Amino acid sequence: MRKYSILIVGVGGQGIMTTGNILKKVGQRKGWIVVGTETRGASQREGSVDNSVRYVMFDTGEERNERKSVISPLIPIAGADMLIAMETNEALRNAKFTSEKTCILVNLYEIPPPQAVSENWKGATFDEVIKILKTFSPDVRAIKANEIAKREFGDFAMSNIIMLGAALATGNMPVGVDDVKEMLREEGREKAPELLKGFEIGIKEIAELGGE
Amino acid sequence: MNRPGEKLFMLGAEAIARGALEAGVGMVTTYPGTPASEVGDTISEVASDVPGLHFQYATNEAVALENATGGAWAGIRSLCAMKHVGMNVAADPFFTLCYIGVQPGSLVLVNGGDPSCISSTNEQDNRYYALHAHTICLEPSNSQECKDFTLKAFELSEKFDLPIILNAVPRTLHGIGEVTLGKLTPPKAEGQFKKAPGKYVSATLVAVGNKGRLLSRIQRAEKAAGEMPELNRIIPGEAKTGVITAGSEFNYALEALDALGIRDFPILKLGMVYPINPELIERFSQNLEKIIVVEELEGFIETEIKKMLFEKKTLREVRGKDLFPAVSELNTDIVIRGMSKATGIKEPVDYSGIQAKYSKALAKALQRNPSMCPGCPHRATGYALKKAAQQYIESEGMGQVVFGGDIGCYATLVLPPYSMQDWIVCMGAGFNIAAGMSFKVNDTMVGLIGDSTFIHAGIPGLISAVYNNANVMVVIMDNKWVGMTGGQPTPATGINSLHQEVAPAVSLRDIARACGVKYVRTFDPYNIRHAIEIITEALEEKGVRVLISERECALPAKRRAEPVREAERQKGKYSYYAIDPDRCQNCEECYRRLACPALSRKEENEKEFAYLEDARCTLCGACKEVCRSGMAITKTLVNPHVK
Repeated sequence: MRKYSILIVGVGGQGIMTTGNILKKVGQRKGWIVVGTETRGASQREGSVDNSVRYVMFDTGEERNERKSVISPLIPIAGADMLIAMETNEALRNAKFTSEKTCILVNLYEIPPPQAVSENWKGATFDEVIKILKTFSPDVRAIKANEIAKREFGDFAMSNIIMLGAALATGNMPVGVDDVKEMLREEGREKAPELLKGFEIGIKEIAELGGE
Repeated sequence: MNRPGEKLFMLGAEAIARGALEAGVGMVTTYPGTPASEVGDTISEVASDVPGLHFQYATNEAVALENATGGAWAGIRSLCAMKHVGMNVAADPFFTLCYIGVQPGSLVLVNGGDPSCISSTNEQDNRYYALHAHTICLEPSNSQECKDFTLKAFELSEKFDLPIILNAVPRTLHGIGEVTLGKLTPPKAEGQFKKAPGKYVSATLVAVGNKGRLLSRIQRAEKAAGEMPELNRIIPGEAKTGVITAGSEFNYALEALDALGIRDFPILKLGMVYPINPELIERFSQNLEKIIVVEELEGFIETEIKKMLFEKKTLREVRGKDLFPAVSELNTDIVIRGMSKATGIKEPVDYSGIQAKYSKALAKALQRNPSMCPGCPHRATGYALKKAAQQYIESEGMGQVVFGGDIGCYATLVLPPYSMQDWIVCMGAGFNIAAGMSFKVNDTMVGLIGDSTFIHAGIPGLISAVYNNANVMVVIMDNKWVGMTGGQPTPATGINSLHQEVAPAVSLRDIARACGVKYVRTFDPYNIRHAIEIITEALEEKGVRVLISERECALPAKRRAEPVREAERQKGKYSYYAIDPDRCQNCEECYRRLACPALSRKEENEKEFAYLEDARCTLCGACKEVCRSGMAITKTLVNPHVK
């Protein structure tokens, strides 16, 4: 039996719930036990949003022992295998859920909280963010998903799908690129070609980053 | 919808709704409240497809429960959903309903707890309502149990003639899990009320008689709880230490035990947290020396266990609140730490090492407090109130304006840069406390209240304020919807509970007048300059004044306007607000003191100026109202193809 936990974090409106739903459905299709949470309400109030996706995977014929298969929908401290952070402040805020086994994928994009603007607070620089995340895990990969989305599609809407492609391309996850592509085709309907394009761009970004 | 055997992912709240539909629920009433709102919302989405199912949003939880009681006494399976503090409002009918019973129908009361007060003012532990009122409380651990326990709750309600509490927390209600669907049951459309002299009247000696009967019903339930493996079950183990747990804590306990490498502790999972069967406890603890009770908030189960073991004279070591805090929610890590303390097994994670690293990371992360959305009318109202109050104090030369706050999105006015609400307690307390205080202080008292909160709890307080000559200005922040919980309708919205048709909308102005208030004024908060005038005039008066700040919540308004804006964009023209960097004097009024999230400061060519992000703007115009540079912010209709 294997567990795999994915923590997706960011700010309301960044498509975190969508990304989480896709990964949950892919896991369900594979016949795994899937549990997780979603933040509600805060997404519409400029708040922090997180979505956890936890897979419990049994080998064929393996006995499903409750003592091993019942887990919290919340990911424990140092318990995330993959952290997909759509925003830099949220990446820092959720660092405690990572450890040296975690693959951290961070979108170098900042949404200053409204209070930061009115009170004139300054956030960490992107270099500082990467440096701090590296104290938690050696595997930190950073891409500018919002910048890429704006360039390729004209706005930020595809940034979460680009990040999803990048996450799959790390090879760290038990789901495959094709599993997710199939889900995007089905769930996306008329938007599917655009989603697949964004997904491929994300895959390419990680390939170009190399093994960082 | 009716696809028994199919496996779907659902939120716990959705699974409860599904369970109710499979049970043939004929009546669902609710008042929105996190984390229980989705139960009612899910039913509202399908109710028009279920002939015979009556769904309604009620004005408050007492009304909701009383309405549902009507359904139960007419022989209908009824469900009532609310958040934990809502139970306090419903408590009045609830206690006596337990005395009288729910027959010939049944009633399930879904209670959404909120440990860690994720969106609440307290984290009260509502299991005590079951103990206090002598009824049954079930607590599911995951989405499948949310559905199964709902069906079971209706059965128990009928069997023991009691309203059943179904208690769940945000991690369960907003947690996702797989649910195997069962068969849907059509509800009984028509009920029947059989007159039975004295049966439904609980007063004086009749009430005392009812109490006796109630105690025997709950005792029968306690006995039956010993033979309910579908609710209460034991995972066997050979060790001398056992674990008793329930609800969401079951998930944390199992993951914690596994993390500590503990494979042999027997585990008693209680699906019915009240009443607990003493023989079951005796059976479970036969060969044990130590029991660890893993529960969130108060030591409710722990106290019951200790009481039972004491009465049976089989004293054991029982651990609980000494290991797991009574404040805030539990999680796997907290349970690991408590278990490690109880067993001496080393923690598998270096918590203090991680905390040291994490404090550094957290210090660099900007704090993200909830804020009002771009275009929120409450922001404009808050700005106008603050400005008018400041000017009023300056003109008076002394004194202070005290703001009583209440429950809703406008509660975020408590945060900087507004820092306005002096207290937030519960529904309706904003201006009621202010009114009470006005008899004892000379300050200028203002109470803020939302439209839905006003209908829920404000009306009696307003009548009292007039009747008793309080000196308070009540500002009703009327944004037409129950905003914070996801936009449910109210009787003042203009649509019915199923988001259909146009119900006659109740007029808040008429209500205020009917409460006896002579001074009632209405204004549009987007017109900030006018709003400041109206507020200033009202501040100078005495007695009870009601100001209604009337403007729809930006979210549904934006959703409706989107297709229109999109069509305009396609045609190549759309209206938008723009800030001219040359005209902007960087007075900071818009992005610092109005503080709309669409506004920020930008620096270019050594000049600092305000910047408006078009994608987030809802065209409310509030920034234009507060701009001191006059012409810096303009609204234009532009064809972007013409350069």
